[in-house]
Amino acid sequence: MEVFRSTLKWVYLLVLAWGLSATFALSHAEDATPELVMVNVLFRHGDRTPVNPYPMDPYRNSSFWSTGWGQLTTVGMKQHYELGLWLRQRYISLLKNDYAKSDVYVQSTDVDRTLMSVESNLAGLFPPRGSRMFEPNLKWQPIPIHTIPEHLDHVLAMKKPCPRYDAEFALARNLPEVKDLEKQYQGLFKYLSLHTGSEVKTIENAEYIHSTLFIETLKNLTLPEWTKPVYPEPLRTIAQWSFALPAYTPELRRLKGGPLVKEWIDHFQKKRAGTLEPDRKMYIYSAHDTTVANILSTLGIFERHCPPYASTVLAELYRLKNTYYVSIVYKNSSEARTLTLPGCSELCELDKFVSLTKSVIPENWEKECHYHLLFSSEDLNDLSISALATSGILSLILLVVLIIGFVRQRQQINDPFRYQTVSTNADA
Amino acid sequence: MRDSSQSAEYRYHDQPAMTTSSQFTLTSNLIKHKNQRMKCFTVSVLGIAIFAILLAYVAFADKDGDGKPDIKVAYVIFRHGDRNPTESYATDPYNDIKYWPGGWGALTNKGKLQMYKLGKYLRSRYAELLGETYSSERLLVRSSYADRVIMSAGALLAGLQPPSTSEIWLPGFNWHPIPIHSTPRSLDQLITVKKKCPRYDKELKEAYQSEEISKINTDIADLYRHLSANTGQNVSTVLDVEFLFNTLEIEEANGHKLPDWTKEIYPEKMKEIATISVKIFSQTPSMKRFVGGPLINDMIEKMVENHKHSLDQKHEVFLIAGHDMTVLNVMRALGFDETSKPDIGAAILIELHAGPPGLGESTDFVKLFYMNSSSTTDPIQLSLNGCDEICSLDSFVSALSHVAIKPSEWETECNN
Repeated sequence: MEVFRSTLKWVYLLVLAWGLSATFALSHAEDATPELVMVNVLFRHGDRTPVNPYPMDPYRNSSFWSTGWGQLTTVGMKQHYELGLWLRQRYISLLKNDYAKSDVYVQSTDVDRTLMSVESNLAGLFPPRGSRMFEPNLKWQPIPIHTIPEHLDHVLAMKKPCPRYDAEFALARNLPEVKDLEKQYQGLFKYLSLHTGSEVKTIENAEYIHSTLFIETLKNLTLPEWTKPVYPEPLRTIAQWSFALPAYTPELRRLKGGPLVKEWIDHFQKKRAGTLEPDRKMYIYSAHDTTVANILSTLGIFERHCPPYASTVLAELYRLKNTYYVSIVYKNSSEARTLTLPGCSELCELDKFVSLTKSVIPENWEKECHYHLLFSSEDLNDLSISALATSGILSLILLVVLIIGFVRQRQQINDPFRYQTVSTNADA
Repeated sequence: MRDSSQSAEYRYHDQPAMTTSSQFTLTSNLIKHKNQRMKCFTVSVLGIAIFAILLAYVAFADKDGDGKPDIKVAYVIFRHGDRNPTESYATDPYNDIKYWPGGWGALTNKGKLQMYKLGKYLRSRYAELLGETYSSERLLVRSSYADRVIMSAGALLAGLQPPSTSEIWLPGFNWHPIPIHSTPRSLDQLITVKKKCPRYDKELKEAYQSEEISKINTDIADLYRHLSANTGQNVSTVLDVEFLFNTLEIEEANGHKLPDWTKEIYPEKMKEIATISVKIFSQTPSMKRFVGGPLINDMIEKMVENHKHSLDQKHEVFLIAGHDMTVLNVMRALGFDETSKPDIGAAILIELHAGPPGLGESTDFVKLFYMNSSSTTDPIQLSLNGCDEICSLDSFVSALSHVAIKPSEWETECNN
């Protein structure tokens, strides 16, 4: 009996110890959950009208469209309002439920539809509460959205002129797989030119047609007969390619998507160092399908597709025991999924993220854009070498001639008689 | 609206009056050879005819001439609404963020409401021009870089153009998005005009060192001493006084009791100095052209453009959201030198009105109004130097040709 009781005591103690350790382990596991500390949000605008219908478009008449060309529709407003609600749900603990100027910075490209999209989004993300309402019947508050004229914006609109990029893009167009692609679709381009009344010569031209037809089907407009053999396929495939091209090569990525990724990394590193001023938690960027595609390409995670309305890239920063991690999430439908950078895991250690993207981050964008292609290109071809040599020899000859000429002239000036004549003339 | 129709009538009466006198001379020549009865008859027939013409004019005027809106273009430049202080001073009893929800420099709820109301007022004034539904072709909104200014524009738009029934996109939500185009400070050569301009910087430096300002500095040395002693910081320029004035003004507006040392100098004396300070930025004609000229050029371009394409019946509203300096610089460039420091919600309204119907586009004319603060919705009409209250577009353009400056000219002259 005594033995039994003491065994029971031991068992009891053991169970207690196990229970305690399990609780401890569990609480420890909770400690091991990464904590979200900041996020960069990039999205495409919502549903819009066609930017510019093709000349023979039966729906060219503006009466088919409630607002002007390329404008956000009420459907687009709703899409973004809902995305705002979704973001609110996801980041509610990060943002403490309210808009604060020191927490959030919002930027948009300087285009009506992107400005209106982010305004609608913020209406869902930050509805005013109680004392924040300035008009009793209006559950809305103004939140500043910053823009830069498009031709000066190399970060978000990615439209500031960059000669080096243009040169690199011309090179990329000459890559065998791209050339083959355009060759393969020559017949289609002719067909499109014939039926649309606009000249279709490139992948980009074809994407334009695809976009218009896509919008018209969304509006339940019946497409003309001629579209049957080409829409959606193969037009969709070409359109998908058109989103891959602008940041196809590492050089293009560095100049196109690089500046925005650089800005994100800068936010992350400053946040980690505690030097972010103001110490923001959320940066919101409102832009276009091309922006979304270019950023994914730059990060090396673009799967060829057309980024849909309100598609969103989230670049989140997490902290776990003083180590910082980056997570890239892509939401192109109702579902958001984490994308993994090649060579990293879903939660990618910040330093590793930085080193993996290093080659696509420009050190000085402005300078690199105006850097002459001839001297920067890694593979100087024969033609450029011979051009260099020839111009070198020519300038050497010119220099010799100039020196000889200069020396001779100096000898003449030193001639005392000449000097005198000049000075008397000058006195007269 | 009312002002415009009055002025239109006033012109219509003018026109027939001229016709009358010329017809009378013609008639009197005829009568000489006719008898008395004939004379009487002719006079009454002509009288009736003239009366009919007059009546027709008046009738047309009432109908706003073929249903065309009176106003073709409205160009509105306004200062943002009530804000929190952007800075404080060393001994400030309210130098604590707890007094200023929203943060330093933020637009307050009061400010949002002021702007919302200004939007409603502008709606009543330009209803026809704006139309029921929002159109990006009719309304263009631009703002400076500053949060409080972008937010002011947003709140104003909530009052100016709420969604019409057909535009409601969320049931029960009386708001819809309208784009506001802003420009970073360092790139802005229109509203804040803070883009780098070496020539202007040089002129500003000279203005600070001018005899006039040196004399003021000597005259108010006592004020500087008084302020330095009480604020716990060095106050030695008119700009220092201006910043201090701004802070005190906001604190007072928000119901905070100001310290006793302010009693004798606030508001009058300090506002006077603050006004001198803000005027330095547009001290000379050349400086006025640099800081006020770009917006004047823009408004002229917009009016001339509209005037040229009047067959398209394009009617437009342009809103410029800016700062006190934006409003003041433009007022002074327009020739209103004596304007004092614009209050919260101050606005300049420039309107292109259609001339009397049937008289062609050349009779289009410009009207100019100023509202010094958000508390008034009774704009004061001003007349430009060298022009009447009703100023033809041509006269308006030529009266301002010396201050209007195109972006390319601005760039060149700045770097000269």
